[in-house]
Amino acid sequence: MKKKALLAAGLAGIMVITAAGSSMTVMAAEKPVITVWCESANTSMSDYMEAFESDEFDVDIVYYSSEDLKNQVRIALASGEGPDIMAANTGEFFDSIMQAGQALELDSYAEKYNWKENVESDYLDSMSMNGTLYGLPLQTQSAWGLMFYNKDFFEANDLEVSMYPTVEELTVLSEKLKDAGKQPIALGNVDMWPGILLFGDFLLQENSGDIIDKLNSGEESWADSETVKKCLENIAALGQNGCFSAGFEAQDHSAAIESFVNGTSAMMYMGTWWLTYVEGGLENMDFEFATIASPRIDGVEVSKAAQIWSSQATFINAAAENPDYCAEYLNYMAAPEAAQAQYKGALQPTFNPEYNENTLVIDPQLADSEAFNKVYDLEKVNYMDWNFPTSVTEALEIEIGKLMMGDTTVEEAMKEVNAVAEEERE
Amino acid sequence: MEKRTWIKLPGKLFVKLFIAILVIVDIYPIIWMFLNSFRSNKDIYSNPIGFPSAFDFSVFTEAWAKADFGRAFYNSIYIAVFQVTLIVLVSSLAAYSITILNVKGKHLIYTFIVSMQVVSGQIILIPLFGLLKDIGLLNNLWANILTGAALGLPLSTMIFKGGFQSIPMDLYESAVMDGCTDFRFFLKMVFPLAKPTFSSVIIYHALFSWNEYLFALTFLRSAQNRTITTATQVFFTQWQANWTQLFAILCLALIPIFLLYIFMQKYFITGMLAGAVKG
Amino acid sequence: MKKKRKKLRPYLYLVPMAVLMGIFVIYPLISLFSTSFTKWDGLGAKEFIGIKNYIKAMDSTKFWYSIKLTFVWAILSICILQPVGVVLAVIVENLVKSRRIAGVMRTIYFMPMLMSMVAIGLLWQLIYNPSLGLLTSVLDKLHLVDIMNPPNFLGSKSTVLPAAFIPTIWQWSGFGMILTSAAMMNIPSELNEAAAIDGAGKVSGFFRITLPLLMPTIFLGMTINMIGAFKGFDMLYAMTAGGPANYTTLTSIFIYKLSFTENKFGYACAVSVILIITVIFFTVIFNAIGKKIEEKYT
Repeated sequence: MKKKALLAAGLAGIMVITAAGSSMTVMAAEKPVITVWCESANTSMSDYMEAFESDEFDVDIVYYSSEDLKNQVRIALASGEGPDIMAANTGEFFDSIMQAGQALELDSYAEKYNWKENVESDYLDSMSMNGTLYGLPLQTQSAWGLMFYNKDFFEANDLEVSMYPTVEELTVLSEKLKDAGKQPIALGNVDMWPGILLFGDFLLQENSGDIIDKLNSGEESWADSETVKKCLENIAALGQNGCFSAGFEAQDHSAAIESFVNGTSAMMYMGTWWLTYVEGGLENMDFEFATIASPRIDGVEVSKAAQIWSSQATFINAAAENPDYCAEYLNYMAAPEAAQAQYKGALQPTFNPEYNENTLVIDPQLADSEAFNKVYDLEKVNYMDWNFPTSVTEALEIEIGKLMMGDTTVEEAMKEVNAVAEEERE
Repeated sequence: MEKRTWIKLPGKLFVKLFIAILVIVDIYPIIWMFLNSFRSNKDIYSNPIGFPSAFDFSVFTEAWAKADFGRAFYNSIYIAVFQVTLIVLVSSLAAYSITILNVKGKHLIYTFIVSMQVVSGQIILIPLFGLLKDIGLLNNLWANILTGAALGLPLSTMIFKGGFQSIPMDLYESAVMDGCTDFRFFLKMVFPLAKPTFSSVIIYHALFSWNEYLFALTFLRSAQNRTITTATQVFFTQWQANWTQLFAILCLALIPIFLLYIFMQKYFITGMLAGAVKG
Repeated sequence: MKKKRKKLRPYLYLVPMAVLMGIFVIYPLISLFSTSFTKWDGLGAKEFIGIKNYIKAMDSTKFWYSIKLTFVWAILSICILQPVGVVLAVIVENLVKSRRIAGVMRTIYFMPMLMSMVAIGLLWQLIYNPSLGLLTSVLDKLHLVDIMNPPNFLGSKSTVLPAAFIPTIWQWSGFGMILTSAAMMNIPSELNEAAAIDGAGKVSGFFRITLPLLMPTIFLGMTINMIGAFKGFDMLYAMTAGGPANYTTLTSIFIYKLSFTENKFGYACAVSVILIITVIFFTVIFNAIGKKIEEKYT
């Protein structure tokens, strides 16, 4: 009993001290702190971000996985609480943020700091409303629409693949790869967005970006569209013909990348951002890889448009207490030095077009590829999982997953998605 | 009549082997986790069941520092201690009134309390967040302490009720006749007699609090307020699937709760049992 | 005066609970209920739409599928977890001679319970991974599978639910085992001895004497498992994210996705309310059955 009493007294003591302590730190408020939420950055980028120094304020940065960031930003804004600087994907999400007046107007700061010179103007539309700018695109410009293969392995086994491979070609190739002892195309579809990105890559081969508006408005119907049908048929074929590495339905993107990098899979379908996931950097890879285009619809080589990611809007909370300080930090995040840091960690085109033009050096394993180079000249479309209303995206992702497993037909899938899309339009 | 051997088996060796297999199958994932802390990502993926080539314990200290685990530990312990204390106090008193003090309407009250078990964290996440913000408790460890305790009350009360029911009423009645107050009876008689019950609630809830993730993720924002679970997850996403260190972190997270369990093992079982027999 | 005080006194002990639960459970529940009648994206204003959300849920195949999954999961939990624990306890108690080894076994079996659900989900996702995981490796070494065509337990509709359930067994078997072990220790051995003297064999002695006495404990274990099953989210979400496609999307995962991916908070609240009601219903029936069994055996 005595021990318990002592314990209780100790606890009470701790309570009092900590309570006093926390109130004391509140009273002795020093410099204001700007809170920043962003996606888990590569080390080079996070080093840069944390190296910021100012006499007037401190910066506290919290990193989240992209899934968590989405949720946390939403929860925070839903209760009127939130960090000073954060990021949200454009499209439905950021639109609703702008509409709810939760993002700070940036025009005056943009002028003061000359931001528009530092970022890709292509993306600014999606971050503006009624002519006013609300966010900056500060992500790497990672592209999809590409595939990667183990050059060393292909050469050793006398295998070839064309720059613009069709589904048929890939089916035959996959068999040969399996006979040679490797899994074919690594894909990690457990979170389901790779499936919809693959759909996007097919869709943009014969259509430009306005197909999205047409699908959303109903001008093009999910149930009848010829082009949608073609895309889904191709995806179904890829999945059911065994072109993807075993287990693709249940593993995530990092397992897929690992599968390619450690040699289990001979090819990979992934966005160019996978380079940062290689342990020890590209020099540490056991083999040389090469880049080709993503699976093609029969008869198509170069696409009409490409999914390129830089339309995540980094914005300032409209309720931020020190907007000037926030803008100062945002400027730091948008500086050419930031692009430099970003490149070091990501090895891809950064958010800063000038840096990309003048200083950027892409690894030859990517740069030597015709497909890779062409991709950046195409019309830039946002990643497909952000272009439709979320319920449509959800439905589409699920149907694509089922198609790849052979659990449904293309007609059924189209009907399902259409039903959800029509409901959304009401 | 032999007491120990049960079924006639072809030899004791077979039995031993069988038992060994059972144990290995159960514990292998954990051992695997532990061994993999010493292997590089590449090794793990290329030969999952391989044995580490070297036992480099620095991975634990590195992972600890990288994940700022010391602070996460402190936060988790802080939350666990206060949450468990709170829940033990509140639910034991409530169970006391329902059993010994025989409060009027106890059936109704008890049924209500128990039915609240269906409420889970994710269901009330958003209203709770708004509430905490209004009270001003966001990003404060007490947010988790209070909400965690509140959600755990139904089960704890159930266990306490079971435990208290075995205390004979005549004990209470004679104490009252001797002029003992309710509260004194609780302290001097109920508490000592039902020690196993208290221990089992403590362990069960400490476990729950230690492994709690959703609320820690949602209510505790800044880096200083991370708990073991959120620190692990942040670590995982920030260092992009570095399984070596992740496994090391998972092992580290297991230790305190494991120690607590060893320490309170004896009581945990008897306590849960008390709840079972009469519950 | 004193009598009135005496009557009110017990209620005093309920006050802390009332306060704590009132603020942090009841109030949010009410808020949940009221939000279920609105359309809300979490950012803007709430728009009152009556019972439209409930109608939508009733019409939705996805919703009913998730409810079906939730109940299947709960029934699996109730029917498998505790019995496995009992079997383990019986094995340990009867086949293991040394008390110390039995104790060690109990601890080993309890260890998985100490891990967080998220950790278990991640761990087992890796174990099940066909090309990179532990299971394939082990099966390959035992020459049971072809490494080019490995089993894909988490990737196909027919196997994913049982495959996803196994980590739950792995985690909870220790709990059931300890509970049963302790209960068995409490059963006076004279009972079994008496039965033996009367000519009953070991096995029938178990079923006629030990098992009935274990019923309350088994029931408690099942109750805890049931509650856990309905709340179950963390592990499954970490392991399968509700997939593949939506084949493991329990209602709790469905609600989570509705809220945080599709931002349909009003609808999600309605689904939550329906879930709560169904669970209460299920619990009541479960308890009634439990009482009947208890009466039969005591």
